[in-house]
Amino acid sequence: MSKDLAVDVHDLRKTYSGGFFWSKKFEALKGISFSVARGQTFGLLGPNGAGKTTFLKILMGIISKSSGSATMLGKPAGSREGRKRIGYLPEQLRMLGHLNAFNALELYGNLSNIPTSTVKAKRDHLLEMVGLSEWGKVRVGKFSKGMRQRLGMAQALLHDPELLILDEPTDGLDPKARAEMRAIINKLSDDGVTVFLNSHILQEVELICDHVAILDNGELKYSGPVEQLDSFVSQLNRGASGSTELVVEFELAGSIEHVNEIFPQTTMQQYERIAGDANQHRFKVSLADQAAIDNRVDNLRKRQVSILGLSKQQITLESAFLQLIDDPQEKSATLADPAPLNPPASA
Amino acid sequence: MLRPYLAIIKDSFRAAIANRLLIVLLLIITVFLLALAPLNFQESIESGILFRPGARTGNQVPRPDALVTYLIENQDKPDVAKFASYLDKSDLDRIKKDLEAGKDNIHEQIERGETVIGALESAIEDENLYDPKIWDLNKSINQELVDFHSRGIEKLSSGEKKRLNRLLVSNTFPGLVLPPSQSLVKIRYLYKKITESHSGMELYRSQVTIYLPYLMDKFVLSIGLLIAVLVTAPLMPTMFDPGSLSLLLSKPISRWGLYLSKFIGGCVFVALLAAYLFIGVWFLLGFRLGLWDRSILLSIPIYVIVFAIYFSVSAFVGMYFRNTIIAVIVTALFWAVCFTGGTIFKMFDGVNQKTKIAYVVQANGQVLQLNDIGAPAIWDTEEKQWVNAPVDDIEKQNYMANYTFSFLPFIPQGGLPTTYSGIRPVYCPKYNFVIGGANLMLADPNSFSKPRIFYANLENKAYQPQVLGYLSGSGIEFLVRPDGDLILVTGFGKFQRLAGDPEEFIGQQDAKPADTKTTKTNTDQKKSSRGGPSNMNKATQLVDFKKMFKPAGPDQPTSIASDRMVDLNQATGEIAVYNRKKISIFREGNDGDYLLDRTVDVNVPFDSTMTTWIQYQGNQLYLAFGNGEITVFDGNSLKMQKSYIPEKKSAIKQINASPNGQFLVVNYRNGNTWLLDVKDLDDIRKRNFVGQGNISYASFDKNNKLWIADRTDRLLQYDPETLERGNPEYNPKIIGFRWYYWWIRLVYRVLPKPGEFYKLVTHLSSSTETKKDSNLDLTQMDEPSNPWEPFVSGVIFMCIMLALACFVFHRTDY
Ligand SMILES: Nc1ncnc2c1ncn2[C@@H]1O[C@H](COP(=O)(O)OP(=O)(O)O)[C@@H](O)[C@H]1O
Ligand SMILES: [Mg+2]
Repeated sequence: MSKDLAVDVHDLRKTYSGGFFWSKKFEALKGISFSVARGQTFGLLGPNGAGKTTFLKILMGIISKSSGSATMLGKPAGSREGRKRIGYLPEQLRMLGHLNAFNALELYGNLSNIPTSTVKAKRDHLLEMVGLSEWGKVRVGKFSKGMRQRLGMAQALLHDPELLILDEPTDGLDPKARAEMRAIINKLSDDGVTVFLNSHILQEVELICDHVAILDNGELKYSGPVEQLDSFVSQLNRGASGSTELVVEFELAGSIEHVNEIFPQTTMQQYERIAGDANQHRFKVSLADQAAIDNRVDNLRKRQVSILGLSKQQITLESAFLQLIDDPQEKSATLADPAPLNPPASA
Repeated sequence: MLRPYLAIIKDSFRAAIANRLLIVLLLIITVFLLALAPLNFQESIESGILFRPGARTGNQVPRPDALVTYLIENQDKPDVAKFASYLDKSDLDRIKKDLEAGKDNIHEQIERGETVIGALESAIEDENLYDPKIWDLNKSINQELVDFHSRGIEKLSSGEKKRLNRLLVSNTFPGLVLPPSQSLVKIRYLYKKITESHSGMELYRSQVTIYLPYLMDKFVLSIGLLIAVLVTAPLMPTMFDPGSLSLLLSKPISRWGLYLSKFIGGCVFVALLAAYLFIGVWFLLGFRLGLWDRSILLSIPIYVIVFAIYFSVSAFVGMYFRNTIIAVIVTALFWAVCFTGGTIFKMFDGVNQKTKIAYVVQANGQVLQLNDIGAPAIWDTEEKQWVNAPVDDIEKQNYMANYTFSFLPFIPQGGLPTTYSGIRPVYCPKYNFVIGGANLMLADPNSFSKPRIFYANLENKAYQPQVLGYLSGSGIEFLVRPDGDLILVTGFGKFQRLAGDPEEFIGQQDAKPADTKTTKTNTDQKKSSRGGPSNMNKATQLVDFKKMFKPAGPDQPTSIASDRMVDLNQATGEIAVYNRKKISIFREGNDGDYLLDRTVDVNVPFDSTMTTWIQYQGNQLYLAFGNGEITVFDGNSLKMQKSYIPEKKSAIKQINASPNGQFLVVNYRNGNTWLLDVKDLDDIRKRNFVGQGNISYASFDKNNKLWIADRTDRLLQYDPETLERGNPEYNPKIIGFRWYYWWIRLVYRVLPKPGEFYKLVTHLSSSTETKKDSNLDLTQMDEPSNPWEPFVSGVIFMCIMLALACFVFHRTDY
């Protein structure tokens, strides 16, 4: 195992057992393998319940793995030497209410074997960095969720970790706070700290990370540079339908019967009425190419349906992500059988 | 390296300060200490009399009836007459009449004692009691009296006059009213008296040293422990709060270190509070009551450990369920289990102790055992069980009452006459019968001073005892001579020889009521005599013992205080008696009467009240003393050969020499048994007997075989040379009561024993003083069950609990 890898995982599995006499089994990680090189800013992306936190907890030794191998900074996952050199911000951190920010930094610093004097020397700078410089003597119990998260960030940085592990660092923050948090992370990665973050928000990963892995339902769907995710997804789609699709949003005015003659109910996505009017509709459909769009517009006009708006949408990372993590059966229905989207040209 | 763990402990304190817990508790303790502050004591001149029969300490009347008799019989002495004049004429007459009528059951004795002491007390109150014609204070040996005299009686304050009067009482009734202690100590709250001690400052101190740990254990501790458990219960659940646990576990520290630091944090917290409380109490008692009692300070670490034992449970539950309420409830349940477990064990153990074999008689193939309260049982060869020997209703009532007392856990055992007393039964081979005497103090006050003699003729094989009547004349022991004849030894040192087959004497005496007051029991008796053993009428004197036992010397008897202090040599027929540091050997003269043959003074540093045993067999004479010392003498020359203290901590329970004199077996109260073989005088050892540590009886039979009883009621035979077990042995199956007993004992051993830690405190605070005194009579002291035992088992329990918690913590996914 190369020393240059910050995280290295091979066929890692985790089965939770619970219920009556541990009889209920749940496989949260189904054999994942990937690695994170030092210096990378790595995002582990996946919907809630995908197993991201489970994975981090295994790295930290908070839970045990069922099989496979995982190393962190060249040490086995959970080993104390490994833990010494990382900073960890758990998800939904709730520090004990009796601490104030200074006490909290002292406690967690001491726990990482940082002397109190060092903590005192560093804390002002750190609190300023996370935007809490005024809050040092306020009880953590009075902090908002975002402030707690930022204090957690400060605590994770106390001992100058080589690897920063963040579990949903921006979860629950308002947009401004998110931007600040992103700025902090970006600055750290510029400083050469390896960052590993969990997120269920693609946008965030796009903005922060240079490498990404996509985890869904305990299975790894993708691992590689963010830039290549795009082409990976289009490849995947092409592999299914033979061509790239266009997603088009229509805003129409006319009776729903006429609209449905052109766009059967089943092909419409995200259908809604505009301003609650029964005769104004907004929806998306997937179409093969520009010719198909023209064809539909002509037919609509023939039926006296007014076209209030029409917009073509590019396939974004977002939709690629959504597609990747879709239920596989549903995916095969939409991707492998595009027929309903393409009514016969004769119609 | 310790920094992370210290941080955890520090954090526990931050939490306590943050939610004001620490401050509230400190306040409560402060209020408690302030409430104690008005306690104070007042020392004044002692002039009262305490009436507590049987007591040995100062200021008291040890034998009320002796005092009464002395007062009545010495009216010719002017000082006695002076005091008697304070007695009502009617009372005086009544007492005289009662004494003549021989009314001497214990209640009557006490009633008379109270009357006389009442008169003495009114005499003390009388400031004009002192009469220079009656008392010549100059000649008094009491320095205080001499001082009073030289100061001039008229100048004494009224308190001092009472003191003078009180001293005159002891002067007039020497040994009957013990001299008063120097001072009377009153403990007061503000100006209100709470209690007083008549034993002077020194004894008052030592009493408090004994009772204070007990009080602290029962009151301060039970509430304090509850509070401590309540306030520390949230520690673990808070740490295991899911919001912060992940972060904690991600830090480079070990989980067991994390858990233990949290645990220690709780203990340190409680320790600080306990230190404040106990040091506060210590200062208060010191400054306000003049008692600087270090047992209070010793309590701090001990009670912190008691707390830690419970905290280990609370912490484990808190860790596992991450819920404070569950932690508190489970800990409370656990405490309840410990408490009831301990109580049930104490009850079972009380009965079990009482049912242990205390004495065995081997009689013509039958084996009779008496247990600790004297209830007899016979070995049933077919069933291989002990079966209760037939006894009459009075005896049954007595034993039931005894068992009941031992069953009730809250009655202090020392205060009640629950152990066997009487004349131990023996087997007389010549006429083939068993005879013995019992003092049935609980059911039959008449037998208080006169043992009830029971007798069982074994001619027709079955053991069917009958009551012959009450034996007057202070008989203390039956001795069996080598020729099979029987000697009755009296407390006055007289020997009486059995005059013939007892059957000849039964019924000669007219059946006359021995006591007129017992009509009720008489009717009971009639009822029972139909179903129960025949002809056992308690009120009937079947035998005139004056005819049955004939005097057999000696001319100059030496009084014998107890059956421990006399023994009959099976080889030479001589009788050895120990009295007041002197061994006397009596041999049978030509006329069949015993006469003094030789004596020797025993040179021991302690006084003559020390409990002593004597054994004289073969050519060996053994003495054993209450301080644990055993001394071996040559039987002929009475020269001392060897002296040692084999077991220093436990009191001797009994000693017995083999009839050939070669072996001495010593049984201790702690259940250990040592054996000495005189072939090598240095070689006295605790031998490999089965049940060592649990042996209740050890003695030789006439064939020099050693019999050892252990495990409550198992009786095994050993060859003292080879220490091999022999046959027969009397080994009943473990059933019923004892089966439960062993289980409960097992549980009891494992569980912490919350109610027993004060014993350790008492032990630690008193041991250095008492350990120094090697002349202490151990038999007069409570045998402490190893005071470290609850401590050690508690700490072991705690360690197991902590290890288990760390293991579970380590193995859990969070
Ligand atoms: N302690 C646990 N016991 C049983 N199942 C768990 C446990 N923790 C998580 N899970 C399950 O494992 C799956 C993955 O959870 P998690 O790793 O928290 O997902 P993510 O962090 O990606 O949202 C979820 O379905 C969750 O219900
Ligand atoms: Mg998660």
